[in-house]
Amino acid sequence: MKASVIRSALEGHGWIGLFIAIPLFIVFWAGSLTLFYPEIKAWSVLPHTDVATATPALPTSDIIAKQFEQYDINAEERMFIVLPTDVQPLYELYLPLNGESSPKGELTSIYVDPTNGETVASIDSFHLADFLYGLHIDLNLPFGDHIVGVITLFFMVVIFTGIVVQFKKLITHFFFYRGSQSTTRYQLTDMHNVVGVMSLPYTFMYALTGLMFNLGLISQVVTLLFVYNGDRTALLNDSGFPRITEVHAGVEREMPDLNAIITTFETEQNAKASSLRLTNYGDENALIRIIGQHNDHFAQRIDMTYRVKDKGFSKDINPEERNAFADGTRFLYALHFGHFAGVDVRIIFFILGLSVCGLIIVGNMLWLNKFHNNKNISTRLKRTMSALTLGGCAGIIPATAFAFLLERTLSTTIESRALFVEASFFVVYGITVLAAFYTKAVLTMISRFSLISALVLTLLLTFEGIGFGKSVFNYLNNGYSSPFSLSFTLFCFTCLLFWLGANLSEKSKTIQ
Amino acid sequence: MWRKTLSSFFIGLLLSTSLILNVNHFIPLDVDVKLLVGYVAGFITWSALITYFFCFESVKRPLIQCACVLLVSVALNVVIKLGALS
Repeated sequence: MKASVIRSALEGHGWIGLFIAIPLFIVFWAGSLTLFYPEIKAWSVLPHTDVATATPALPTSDIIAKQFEQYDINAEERMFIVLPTDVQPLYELYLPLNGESSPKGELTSIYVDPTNGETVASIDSFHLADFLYGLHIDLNLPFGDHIVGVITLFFMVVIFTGIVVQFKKLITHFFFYRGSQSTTRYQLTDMHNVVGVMSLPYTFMYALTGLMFNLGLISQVVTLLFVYNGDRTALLNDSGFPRITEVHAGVEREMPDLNAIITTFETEQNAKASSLRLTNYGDENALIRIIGQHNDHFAQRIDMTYRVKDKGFSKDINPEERNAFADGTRFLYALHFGHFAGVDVRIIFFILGLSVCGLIIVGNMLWLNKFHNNKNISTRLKRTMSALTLGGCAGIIPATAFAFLLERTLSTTIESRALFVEASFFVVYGITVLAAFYTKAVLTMISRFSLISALVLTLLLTFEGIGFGKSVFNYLNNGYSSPFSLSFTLFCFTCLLFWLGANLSEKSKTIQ
Repeated sequence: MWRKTLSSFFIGLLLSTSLILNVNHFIPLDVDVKLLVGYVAGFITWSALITYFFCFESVKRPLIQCACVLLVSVALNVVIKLGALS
């Protein structure tokens, strides 16, 4: 490869990397945490509940019947039910309610006790897991999914330009690290290259899948206009996402036993059901859609619809042949979020995700190091990049710690509880970025961020121990280990942050 | 750099779309497989084309090259479309 090509690619690599660095860092940080979405959700809500898990659960049909007694449900609309799992013993229900308080299309979301069908809490009150998920997919910004899509596109370009630059040395310089005898710049370069090359399959998978999910609209529009001449139904059918609808007949009909249907689905399909979609429930034209995961096939989703008037999974709405597009995209989705994996693989994904965060920081440091004495680049830009790298990257740790603290400590009776959790993250994050603009002692600053985060987490764990310790251990004894496991992980991170903060503080004193 | 970034973004989008439409027309696969191939390959091609622009010092050469390929590809698409209509 010509030297000029490598030089141009390297220039592009640095230029694009610099612009996408901070949002990409946030996306990867939040994405790494989102790998444990079910566990974070369970950690948030379970200690606030008093579910007697030893009592046998009510049949699902009775749970639904209870909701019809308690709420004014618009049965013509679709309602969603997430079934209890090994991580989360509560039902998650998303109900379309009648009346002005619930505008059309909006669903009321509640956690329901499986033993008595009573509402335990509003899902919206426990927002941390969804907030982190939102931060990952759209940075919680308007049009954020498209913004993240474009960032991911350029992340893919950064990977490709990185391969162009490293192509000749990809094998020979694998694990090449020059250690403490060389200059800081060489050390940083080696660190960036080693982590970049090692995590290449992982980063490529994330860039590609992220790009497909966030900018998929472009592909859909192009296919719809140029291949299907605007025929949306044909496109949906060919892509394996047919719209199965029935008009509300207005004729009441007794609904079948949902547990029996779920058992039939699980036996016939060799799958584990995870959620239900009920349309026209209680009506002649009721549809019961069951979504689950195949027990043996890798990350294969099984999606079947039961038509009540046919008393079965009719073949006209459940084609036997599998669709490559639907299966492929669902597989990629599962790969992206680690849905196929147990905790062990997700921990590896988590470490790799944080490695990419490290890769981004080192990349920015390399740029700053390279152009430190370059007079063609304004001091203002260099200072801004330096502050954004410091505040934008290191600041995310105390911001996340504060969000976790409020999620645990705020009372569930506070109406805007979710808003407080979200606001605490952004306020702390904003303060750290601002603070980074007014400091020259980088190590001292990182040390303080670490110590503050450790103190916040200590406060959280103390509060949890006093207020919710009994509940956490109760769940642990009943086989629901997520609240305890997450608290223990937070404890480990607290120790790590105290150690890091103390060490960096010592080091900064030595330098001064 | 801004010129390179913006031109590669838009030319890359148009060219990858046009190329994938052509390829999808000719590959003898089931329609669902074609859709999946197009979906995955389209984004990889787009990113690869932007990368191609960044492998040159000036924007002129890749721009001319890509514009020529785009012209041929679009013409082929038009011919296919007209053929399908008639």
